[in-house]
Amino acid sequence: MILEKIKTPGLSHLSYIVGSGGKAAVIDPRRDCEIYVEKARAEGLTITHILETHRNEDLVSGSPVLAEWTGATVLHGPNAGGDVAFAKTAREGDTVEIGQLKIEVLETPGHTDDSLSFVLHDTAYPDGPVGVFTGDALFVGDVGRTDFYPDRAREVAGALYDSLQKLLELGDQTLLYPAHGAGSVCGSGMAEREFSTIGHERRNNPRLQIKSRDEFIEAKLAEVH
Amino acid sequence: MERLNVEGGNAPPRVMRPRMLSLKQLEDCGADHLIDVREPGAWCAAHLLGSYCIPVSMIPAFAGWFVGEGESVALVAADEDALETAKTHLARIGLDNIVGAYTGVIPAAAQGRDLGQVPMIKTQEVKRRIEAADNGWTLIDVRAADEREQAKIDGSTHIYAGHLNEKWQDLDPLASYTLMCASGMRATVAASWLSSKGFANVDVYLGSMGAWNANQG
Repeated sequence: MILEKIKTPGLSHLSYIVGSGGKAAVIDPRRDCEIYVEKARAEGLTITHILETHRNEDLVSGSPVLAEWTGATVLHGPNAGGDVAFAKTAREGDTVEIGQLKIEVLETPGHTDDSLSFVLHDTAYPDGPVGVFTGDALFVGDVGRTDFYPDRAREVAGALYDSLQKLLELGDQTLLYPAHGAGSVCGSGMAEREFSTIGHERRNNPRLQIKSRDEFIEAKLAEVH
Repeated sequence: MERLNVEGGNAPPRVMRPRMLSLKQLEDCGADHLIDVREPGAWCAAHLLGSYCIPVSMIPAFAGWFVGEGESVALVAADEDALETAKTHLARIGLDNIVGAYTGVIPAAAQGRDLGQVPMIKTQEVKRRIEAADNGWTLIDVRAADEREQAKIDGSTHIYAGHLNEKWQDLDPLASYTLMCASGMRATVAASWLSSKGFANVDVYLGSMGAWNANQG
């Protein structure tokens, strides 16, 4: 079983390959995809699924390329502002099996309407999720920007608050795998550290210390980017 | 990128190193953008006319502001290794139309080409200009709005570096501008962009907000 982070310098973009039982999933691949195929082959894994946490605007997705090379199924969230031609729409509760790992779709809109998180379960140790890929909903030390829909600023900030509550409910043991690290244009408050848990964020992430939904919305509306 | 991430982008070209051009070929290539990926100090000291500066490490964050989808780019670099990194960064944000690349800015001077220069000015000079309150001069702060909220220089005007892609048209090419950011890096990107658009009187505040703060008290 592997879970590896592939970092793209400059963009501070984090993608992941996770594999078990001869199968692998890639989360948010970048456009130069050789690295995923090479890593999978080195581990004797076949990439069967490509999971997109949201439609990025700061980099070109490698999903259609990787899908063409591997035949893997691409999953993308609903409400992407267009029909994502190379992907199937994934919904809350959909699951993907990667060997003994089970990946469950959680809809976590706010940063974008189509934002998904992917909850990672180890079926051999089923008491609570082991990790979660949060895309741009929750980072280490910050949360996603909500300034992309100016006409609906209050609504999407509230949506992000609700999504964060869903992520917190996964439990403190859950390892956190966001789509960006410090230096990204997608959040200026991110920690330099690129590893964390839901529990550590619950205690330390400044945005998760805000206890009421209304206060959270006000804080997000006051942000300038 | 938004379009590509709905319709699906294709695989980037496998050969990441751009085609090398002679100075003559570069001058005749007709690229929409001539981007110099050297360090800010190098660009300010001497650059090919019409070029603007995006240091190689700043390409992922800034090239997308200035280069539109499908537009052609020629690169200028200090060496060929920097070109490979530059082209990889450009491919990841969907900019593939790289017509070629050139190294050798100083040799271009030796071949009789007229090179451009943009001064880097220091805190004392910025203070002097603020105190002189010259109407023909503007200090433009190109940092992000949240950085400017922390601290700013009184009398400076805010235009985010990336937004100069359009907003340069609102500025007066005959007026004098000093560009500043947190250090002088983004200010050089901004100053070089204006220079490439025919602004003759631009310079860069070397050290920018950091130097300003260090000189207080």
